[in-house]
Amino acid sequence: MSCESRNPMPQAAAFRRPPGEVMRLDRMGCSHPTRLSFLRQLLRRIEAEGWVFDRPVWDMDARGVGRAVYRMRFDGGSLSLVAFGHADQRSDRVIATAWDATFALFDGTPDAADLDRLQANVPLQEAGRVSPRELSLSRANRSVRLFDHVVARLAEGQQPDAQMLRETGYLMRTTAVYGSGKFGAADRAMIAGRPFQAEMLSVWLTRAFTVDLVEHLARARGGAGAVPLREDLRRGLGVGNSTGLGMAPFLVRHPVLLNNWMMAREEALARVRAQATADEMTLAGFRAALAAAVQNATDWQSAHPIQQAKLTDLRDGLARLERFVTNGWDASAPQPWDTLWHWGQTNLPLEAQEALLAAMLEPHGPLIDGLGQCMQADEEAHFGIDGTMRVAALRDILRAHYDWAIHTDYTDPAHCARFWYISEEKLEPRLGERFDEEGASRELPLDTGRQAAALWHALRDEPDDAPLARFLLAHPEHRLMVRRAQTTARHPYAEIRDNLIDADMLPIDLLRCKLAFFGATRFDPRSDRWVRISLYQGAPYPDDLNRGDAP
Amino acid sequence: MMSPNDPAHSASSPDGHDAPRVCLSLSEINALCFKAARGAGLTWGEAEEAGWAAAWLTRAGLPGPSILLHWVQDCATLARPRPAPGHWQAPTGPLCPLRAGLALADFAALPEGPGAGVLRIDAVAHPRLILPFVARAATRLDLPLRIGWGGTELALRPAETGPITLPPGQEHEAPADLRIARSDRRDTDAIPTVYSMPAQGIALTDWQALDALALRVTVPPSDASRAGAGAAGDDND
Repeated sequence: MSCESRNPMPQAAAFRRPPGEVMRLDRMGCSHPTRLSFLRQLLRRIEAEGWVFDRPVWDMDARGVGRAVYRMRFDGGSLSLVAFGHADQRSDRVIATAWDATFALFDGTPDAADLDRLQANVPLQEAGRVSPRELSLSRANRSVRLFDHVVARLAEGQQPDAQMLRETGYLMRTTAVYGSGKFGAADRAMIAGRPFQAEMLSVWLTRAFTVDLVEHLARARGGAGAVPLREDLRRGLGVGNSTGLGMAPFLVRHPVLLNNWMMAREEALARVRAQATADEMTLAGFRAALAAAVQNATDWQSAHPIQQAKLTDLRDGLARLERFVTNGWDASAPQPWDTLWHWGQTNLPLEAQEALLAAMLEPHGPLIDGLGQCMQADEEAHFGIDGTMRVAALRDILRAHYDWAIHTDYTDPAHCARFWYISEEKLEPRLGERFDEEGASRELPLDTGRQAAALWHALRDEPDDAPLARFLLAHPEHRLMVRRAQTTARHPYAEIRDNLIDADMLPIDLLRCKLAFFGATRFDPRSDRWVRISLYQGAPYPDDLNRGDAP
Repeated sequence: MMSPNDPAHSASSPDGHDAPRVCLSLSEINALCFKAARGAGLTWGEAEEAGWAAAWLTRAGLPGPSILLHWVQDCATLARPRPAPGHWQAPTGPLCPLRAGLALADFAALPEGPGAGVLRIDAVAHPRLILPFVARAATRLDLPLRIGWGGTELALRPAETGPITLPPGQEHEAPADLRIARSDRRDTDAIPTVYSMPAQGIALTDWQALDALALRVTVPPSDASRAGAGAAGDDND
């Protein structure tokens, strides 16, 4: 990892979990957000740098049709979420043609001409073209049940039903947030240095917009009798998101980035485990984080059997963990966090182990927050292949990092049951059943395990000292896997160590891992390849942090 | 006809795009050319390189997507390189610039590769496409490389993709005999580097042609694929 040379705690390396343990789908599919998640990093940064919020434009009619600008000003510039409210019919799928609201994150403060240009393009989403001034493009739909209920209650001068708010958790759900370089948008977020900051900022400001919108509609309906949303209820609302297969290949296509995310989290855990002692304040912070995790597990609902079983695991595991922390854990003994971690490994299911990880990181901000700066990746710098590497060295890499892959029989239908492809109709990634559906001849190269095995077999008759340049000249079909293997040798957490075309593979495991790094909570799968989440529930709003001269 | 805000078909559809040139981001250019190269029959690993090269050329001020398109339309007829110390010959016809470029970068620091003396490579088709790989070889060797053909002469420095200017009026698509040699560091500073054109403009017709190739990697819809993509039940709440 790029920050290795500046690592202030080399002794923590001995406590790092090996990639063979971390990079398995069943564990990745139990990921929880941590204080290194991107939305947490963004909020810390906004607070630390004193970004100032205002809302220079609010031009909405009584139906919620119109436009608004949410602006964050900081030293050296500003970023503005431009929001358009619509009253069209719409669908909830990513690929639909109309939404209740559409958004662009704009670099700077848009003038009237910018707004007109955006108004002509942003509501079209994929079919429109934006410009390099735009850092992200997104859209959202109202939560059918909750949105109308909240407007109606506020209009009548009453607060909405708290139970309903808790169950849904958001007024609007984004169906896609397109980041850098999509549809003409800027290639590199101007707020560079941390991943997904522009997207996370866009969603945070969208959350403020959703509350402003219900209060606006309530006033339009109820006039002077309408009331604003009570502060505690407002705080409990997030922004929903529905994510499908479109996101799943990302982690496979960006191995260095995945490594850097995982490495930062694993290094954070290792640093905590390496602590010789635990002081009282840190212990109090941990107990508070654990209590919050228990509350979260209570509020977290899912109708999907896979997640229901996991939630049972989580609640049981956290209950056991709380008992152990109270009665069994000697926090004054040497390396107490490592002791706790080992207890968890033996006594907790995966869901609760990963929740323990998040709770252990929580009170250790000064020790680990700097790792957030190591979660970006210069992917281009690692793109080239070392053609001077000898065949024997590549064999060693495959033995060391692809042992999970190279002994599998991929002619067994169970081990190649699926294939990934791009649908012609929607231009989105999909997962097909190889033996039931057409299209496997156009398979995407996400069959990483099978490719590693094919490379392993192709190398069998090559001389040990032959350079890979010579091998690749004769076998260009192995170029992609040679690149991945060399990348993985330098970046141990780059490769998901599971067969992504296996009959039992669950795409939601990939989605959950990525979304947890964003900071998502309340994972609620709607199938094995589609998940609903919530972002920013319980977080502050822009005007809570550094209020400017907002209207 | 599709409604103007139906994104469900090819992104380069003229609906909503009436300008003769369109601005694509570098990552879109990379993704588009990646898929187009795969659609044209290259392996996935080579196609990745083609996408990367198109973005590299665009960032250097050259018309990356257009260069890619013209090459990929010829690609099936072009010969593979035969790396040998000092001189790569092309006895069966013009060489594929992508495969020659990949070999050039892969063989950097090996006897067949660039760096020691002058390396001559015969009859490279669409020679501009080899530039990103010369730059990569320079990075691998950590020394500047000079490449020349016809009236074109330029130096590429390690880890640097600054703007590149090629002599105007030159035929850039005909096969060319290349000379590649290490270059003195001071020497490279004399090479003028000025943006020659808007970096990311792409002709709508080129975009559509690349998109047509890219569509070849996609799978037509079926009832199973439609059903499998979304929620098992109703997703309204």
